[in-house]
Amino acid sequence: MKRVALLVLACPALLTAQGVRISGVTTVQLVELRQLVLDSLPAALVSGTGEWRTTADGVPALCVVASTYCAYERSGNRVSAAPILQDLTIAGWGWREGLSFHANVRARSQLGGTDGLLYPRADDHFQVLDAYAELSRSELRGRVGRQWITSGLGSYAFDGANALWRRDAVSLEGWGGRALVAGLNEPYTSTQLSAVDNLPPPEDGYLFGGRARFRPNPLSAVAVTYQRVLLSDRSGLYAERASLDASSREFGLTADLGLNYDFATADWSEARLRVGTGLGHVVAYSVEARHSRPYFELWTIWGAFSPVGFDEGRAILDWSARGSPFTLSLRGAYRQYADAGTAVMGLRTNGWRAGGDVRWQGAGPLSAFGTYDVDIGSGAASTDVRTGARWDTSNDLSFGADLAVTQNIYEFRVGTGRIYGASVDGAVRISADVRLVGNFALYQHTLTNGAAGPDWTQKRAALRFEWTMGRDPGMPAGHP
Amino acid sequence: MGRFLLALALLIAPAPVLAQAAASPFPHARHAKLFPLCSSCHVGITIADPFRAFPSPSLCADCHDGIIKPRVKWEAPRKQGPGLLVFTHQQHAASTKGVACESCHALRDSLPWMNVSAATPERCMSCHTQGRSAHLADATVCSTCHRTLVTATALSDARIAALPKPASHARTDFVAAHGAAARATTANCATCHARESCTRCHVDGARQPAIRALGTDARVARLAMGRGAEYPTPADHRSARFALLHGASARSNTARCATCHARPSCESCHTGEGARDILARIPDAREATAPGVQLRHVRAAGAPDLRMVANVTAQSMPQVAAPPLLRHDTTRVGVRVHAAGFARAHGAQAASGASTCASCHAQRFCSDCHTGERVTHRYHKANFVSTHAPQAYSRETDCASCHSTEAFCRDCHRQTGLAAATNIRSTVFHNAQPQWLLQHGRAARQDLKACATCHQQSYCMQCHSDLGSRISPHGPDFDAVRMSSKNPRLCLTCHFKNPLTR
Repeated sequence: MKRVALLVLACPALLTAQGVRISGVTTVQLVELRQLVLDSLPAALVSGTGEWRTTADGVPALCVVASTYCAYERSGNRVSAAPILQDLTIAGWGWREGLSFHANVRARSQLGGTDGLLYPRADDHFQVLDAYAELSRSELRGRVGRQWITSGLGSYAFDGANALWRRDAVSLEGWGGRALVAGLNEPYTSTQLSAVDNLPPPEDGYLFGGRARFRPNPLSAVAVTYQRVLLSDRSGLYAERASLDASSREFGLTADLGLNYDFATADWSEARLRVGTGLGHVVAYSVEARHSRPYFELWTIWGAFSPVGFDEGRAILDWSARGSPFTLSLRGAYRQYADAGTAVMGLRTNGWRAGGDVRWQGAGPLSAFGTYDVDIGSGAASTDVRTGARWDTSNDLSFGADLAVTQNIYEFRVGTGRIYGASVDGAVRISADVRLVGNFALYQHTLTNGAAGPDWTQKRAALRFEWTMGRDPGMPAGHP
Repeated sequence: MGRFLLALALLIAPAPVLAQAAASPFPHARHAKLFPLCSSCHVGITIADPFRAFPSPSLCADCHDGIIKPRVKWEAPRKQGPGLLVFTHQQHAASTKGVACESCHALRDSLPWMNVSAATPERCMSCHTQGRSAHLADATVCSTCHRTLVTATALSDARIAALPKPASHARTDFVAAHGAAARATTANCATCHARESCTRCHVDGARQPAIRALGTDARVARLAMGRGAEYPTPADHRSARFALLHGASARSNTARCATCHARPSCESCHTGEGARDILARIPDAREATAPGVQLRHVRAAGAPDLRMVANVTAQSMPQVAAPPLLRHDTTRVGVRVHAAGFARAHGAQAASGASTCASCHAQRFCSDCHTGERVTHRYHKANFVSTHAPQAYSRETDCASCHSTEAFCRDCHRQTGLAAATNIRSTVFHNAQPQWLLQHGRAARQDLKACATCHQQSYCMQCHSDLGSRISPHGPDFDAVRMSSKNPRLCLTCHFKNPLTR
């Protein structure tokens, strides 16, 4: 309610603006699925001995000693949800030089009854994603309000202030305010977290950070970011991290470096170096070395469970001849996990992936693609084949149709599943400021080898309505 | 004598008059024996008397009376306005006394008397060399002999279309290089061109001083309508890195961009704030004077919207009443704005500032994905929800960069029945591993984020805390002191009291 009131209060101020631009996106989805439910049957109806036996359908059943019943999982009734999402983006400017106001607000609901399925956050009916005033001059920029900071550490929203100084190739930026949970955009003490975790963060947090950027030439840039999230009672930290990000296109090479350091565990949570180059305009290739270690904020105990990371090598090869409508891309990666120190019984400690795609872009509006990907790793594996075509006449009209076959293999579960999918999508621009986008898909799921999992056979659909009122200075009509 | 005067008058007529006469030329050579002097017919030429510049038709009728010779119909050319030459016979005759008419008008020196034609530029150049070897050589100062085309109102459309083309115009780099020459010697261009010659292709014709200086001409406009625009791709545009590097050149030389591109072309990608100051210096669609090269942002089939491909196509703007583009001139070049794999690994480029994301994207473009709910950019493949497990386990992309793994993943996993209930072994999810309890430690340490998408902390604390079996989850490299220094309250989640103070 307080958020709605704040927005209402902002409206009269917007009316005095020299210009206002409001754009909206209404998204309605249809999601179907069959939940996985626990069921039981008499022990006499299962075959085998011991704790793990098999039902007549080949589904594993857990038979506790001395119990006359065994437990097994099966797909429940088909349930559906139709979440509706309404986004509004507002920009106002013109009170004085360089002063503008920006807001993104979101309303959520679910059409019809819940039918046993509530789409994530559909009960969180109103949210301010950001709402801030900005004063921008040639060398200085300041923002006050709810805003985003996007850095090598990720995207974080907070309620507070941000100041940026820039001159030529150098910029310095600092920010601070009440922290919002990354990916959730809610305070740490939000009920959205306590609803899914019975040990939610005990306090709100304060986010502080700074960043220095240097761009020695148009081909190179480097940035250093430091950020911490402090408990509101200042008894400790939720997070303290730093990142170094650099990118260069010098000497015909493409080089990107990203380093994330977690001060709490004194570990590099992410380190990635990618170097690429090309042979003329025909072939481009890149290699990547990556170290990844799961990072957890300190309101959870997971960081104390000593997660281990993996080292990964990756290569990508692209082929595209000038004048040829075809492009070909091949990729492969191999990763090796660090020793977890728990070698009681073995599990896969490596993984690999390989894939390729071929695309055809005709001289007209028609394009087509085919892809193949295989991904084998700890926990799960899949093989995925897709093909499709798209007819796209600028932004005014487009249609697409895709076919897909996916096979999933779950290491931690018995059996495999195969999903056949077919989908169509289209978009039409009704006017410069109004666009309609939609898609519809059918998926047929087959559980194989006695797999016990949810049946994903389903229909899916989405409809998106985009509109714009007014213009931003320099903004084209109807652009999101 | 009268016939001779007629012949002389035709010989030394001013250029526009000759242009008219060219349609019905007088056969001077056949009358060579009749006219010993040019002035017999054209006495008015050298004294600027238009009434005596040509003989009267009655003079022809003296012989062509139907008895001696067949009748002929001939009329003296009517002067319709100034021609392309600034030359006048009166001035020339006054300054070159003693130079005979045939010095300029004889077809060749060796030919007999009365083999004449209009004076050719080469004839003029035989005296007026200007230090040049040829009439249409580079750096010839045209205004020495010529007035501008727009003031040469006597020239017909056909005559303008047939004007000779300098050799420089045939060079392969002429289209790319002619701008500097045009700015330096606009007067030269004006000899054969009007503004419409340039606005046939130039989008910024209304802004370019050199083009504005030319003036408009209906005859040229008619000719341009039939020719269509041409947009050869400049050499630097063909570089694979041009999409990355064009910003600096656009900032330093925006006028060059505006030659071929109107603002909508740039705005097909540049919708952010970072390039607005440059875009403001490029003509918008209403101001554009030519069709222009229009960039088109397309999404390749099967690719997420983060992978942009800009197709360069020349398209007529509805506001411009321009001719259709020539088919062979329409360039279609795919410019891959972001390299393959960009959607997965754009963090370093975005965070370092190398990509200047704000030039093309409003901040909402990022938050559309990084808030984890909108499907605007199709970041994930269709049906990703049922195929995402391998990517989540391998952290191919970090789910947490867009989704709160607790609120988003766990919420869904719970509702679909995948998430574990509170009691151990109440489900058979890990049924592929009968000895799961002995294996789960490695699985957890390798993919703890995946565990957390189903399991709450309290689930693991049933064993791994002072509340439960007191089985330590800490690995050999666990730095309790360090972690405690960052958040002492964290220890007390599992321990009754801080174990570091025992």
